[in-house]
Amino acid sequence: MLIFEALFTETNFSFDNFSIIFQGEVLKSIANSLIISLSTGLLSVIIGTGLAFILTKIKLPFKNILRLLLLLPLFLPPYITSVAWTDFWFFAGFPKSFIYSIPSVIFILTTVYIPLSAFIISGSLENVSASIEEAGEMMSNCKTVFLKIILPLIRPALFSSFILIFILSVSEFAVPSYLSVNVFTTEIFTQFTAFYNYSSAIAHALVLTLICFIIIFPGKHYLLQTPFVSFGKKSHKIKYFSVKKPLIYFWVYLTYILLFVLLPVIMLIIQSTEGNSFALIQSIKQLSPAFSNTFLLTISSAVFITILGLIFALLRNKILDYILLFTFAVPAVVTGIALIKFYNTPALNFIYGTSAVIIFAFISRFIFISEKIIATGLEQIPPSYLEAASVMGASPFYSFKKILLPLTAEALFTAFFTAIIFSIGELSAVIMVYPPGISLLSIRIFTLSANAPQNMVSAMCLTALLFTLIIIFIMLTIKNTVFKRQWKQS
Amino acid sequence: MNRLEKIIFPFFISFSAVLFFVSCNQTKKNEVIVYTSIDQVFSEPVLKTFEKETGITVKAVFDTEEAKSTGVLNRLIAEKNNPQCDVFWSGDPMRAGVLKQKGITEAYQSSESKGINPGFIDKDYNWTGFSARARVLLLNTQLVKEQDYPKSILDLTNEKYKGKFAIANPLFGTASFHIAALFTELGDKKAKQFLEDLKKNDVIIAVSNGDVKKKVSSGEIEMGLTDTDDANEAIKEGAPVKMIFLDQNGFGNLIVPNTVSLIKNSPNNTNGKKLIDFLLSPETEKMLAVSCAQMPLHKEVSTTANIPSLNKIVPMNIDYDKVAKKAEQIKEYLKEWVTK
Repeated sequence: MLIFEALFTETNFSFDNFSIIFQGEVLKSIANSLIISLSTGLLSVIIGTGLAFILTKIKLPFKNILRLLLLLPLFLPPYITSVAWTDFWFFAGFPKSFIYSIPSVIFILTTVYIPLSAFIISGSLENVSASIEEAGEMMSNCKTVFLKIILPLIRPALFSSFILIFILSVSEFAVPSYLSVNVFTTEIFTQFTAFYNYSSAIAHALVLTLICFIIIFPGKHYLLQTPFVSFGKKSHKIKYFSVKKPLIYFWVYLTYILLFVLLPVIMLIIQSTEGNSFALIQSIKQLSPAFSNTFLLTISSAVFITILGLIFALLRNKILDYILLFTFAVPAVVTGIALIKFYNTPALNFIYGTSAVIIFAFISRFIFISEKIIATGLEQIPPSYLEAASVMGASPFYSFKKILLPLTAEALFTAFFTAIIFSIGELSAVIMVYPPGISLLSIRIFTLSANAPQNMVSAMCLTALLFTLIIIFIMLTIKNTVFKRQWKQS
Repeated sequence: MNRLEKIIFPFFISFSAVLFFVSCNQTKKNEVIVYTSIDQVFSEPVLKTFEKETGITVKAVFDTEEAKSTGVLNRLIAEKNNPQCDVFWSGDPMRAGVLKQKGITEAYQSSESKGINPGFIDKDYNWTGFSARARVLLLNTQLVKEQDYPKSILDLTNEKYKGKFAIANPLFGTASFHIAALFTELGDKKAKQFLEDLKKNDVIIAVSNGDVKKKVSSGEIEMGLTDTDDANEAIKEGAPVKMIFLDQNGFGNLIVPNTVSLIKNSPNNTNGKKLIDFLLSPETEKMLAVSCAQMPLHKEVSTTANIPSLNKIVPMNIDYDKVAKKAEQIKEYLKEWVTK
């Protein structure tokens, strides 16, 4: 439907909508987008690998807390993170030429997406069998083991995290816009909101998606066939590296957390208390109409996303994988347009005019990630288990219920958990379709931010952060209660 | 699976199914649906008052700073064939004009519009103006001395203001309306020259009017063009700022009324008319005057001294319809100008 609209101007077939893309300024914006997203992807992977290595391969105190702290940037909208960082830079006397520039956009997006790469790579490091590393250590030193054994084994995870962050960065609009950097998504936004030219906006979005596919295609083998995220327990021990002074790594990690994760949060806390000590309490009151809706809709969406992710993962269809990748790569605002155009009909009003459309928006945005997480879990199950069940006369449903489901329980939970986190922060697609009178946390923060004092805006963001942390705590408590640990890490 | 797992999984799935079906519930209620580009902090209290007085449930869709007052407009355009909204409350006549051109609104002459100057009402009654803002120059009083205050918008091309002032992106919001009004007033040639001179004078293009307010309040820049409600918020927050009206001895200062439009084929047409009547009433104008310093168009509505008054401002004499059409014509030029 979108492609049809982009290719047909009025009623005639035409490439006119695509020809605009070859104008000088548009090509420059594409170049800016590529510079930002490639740099962000590269830096996130390099730094994320270092942090993942420290988390996974070095024995550290308070590891669970360190892991949780690393996640914090994912719980704040990137736009708010950029406001916090720019306020800090102005306070510290950084020049405007740096603040409103491509390097600052790269810096902010890198700090936002490092947690993603760290967790993808950490999962892959946990997959590496200790026996392989021990065999390597018998022949060589730790450095060689890391370069010649571990790095090649986690290469697929390095590439897949790069691709994920590349797509997220290239679709990002709010941060470059705030820092006055012209990127390709700015063109999409301008065509849509200033010119009301949907066909042109969709054509731009298709070009953006094509760029993503061109970057992804060479590594599609790694992306579609390798573990994406893995939090599961393994049947083998994890090999810790023997380092002379493990505390040095602890302090390096902590320094990163303090300087690049907690600093913007501290700025938000300072801003929220300026001129009004009660801003946080007032913000809780302002946002309270959205708490229950956000909780219920994100939980129910996560259930549907997980169930559908399981179904698609079981199907193991490559064409389906590409379609899901396409839905993830398409900019969120275009997803919103597509949802309106498809569901806003009298026959489908029971979806479009209700909260169901929000659930559909979340599904379309995050089904790809869920499917990959669950597919990873399924791939870790030895086929011999299912073969043995079949030989014993078990039906496919019985095998699914008694073997597949219990063994992928942790992957299912991880997919569910990830869907909740992403859904809480999702704005661009949902803002286009949310039914009148329905309030979600992300929408309410941004609609109230227009002309609210800075302390209130910062306080609302901190409230959202607290809300997310409470949900994480509830989810982790349920997980630890429901799932028994079958293997223990040494 | 243990007993707890047998309970929790089916519970989650059943709960989600129930939620899904509840959310699809289409029971008709006594309600009205309004889309508004007015900041939620100002518009929501007005809508809640209407709800309280009439018993009609108001369901609203608000805009975000990022969408720059065009988010709800684009949603209305996308929903044209199956309208979900009854009333569109816009921050300027331009957006209402776009909807009229696309055949999305219908004529409605409210009884409450009788006290409003016909210059603020569409000739076909597709939109009616009320509670006006004005475009103002917001200055940081710690950085700019009174003798250096510009008197005209054209003064901003003066070298002494080089790199020291900002304007919101002229492709969106009231900034787009302001530039279109200048084109109508000055003529294309002179207006383009003015914009080119602004670029040579290193004008800073901010993300939005709110961003202009933030930059001036913090002292990042000395002055910027914004709206009276943004300027008023900065003053209320205690920022060292002052707002001035430009061209009081020349072609006048742009006045931007709110507008309200009835959507064609809307689901709750009767309630929509009631909401429009309420929004156009002196009672609403008084509320908006107090909350965000918007100037009443009903003459009988009195305001306090801190709220600007139309009686004390020399307004730009424009035809809002012509300005809306001019805005469409100059978009391509403005897009190039912004990215230069």
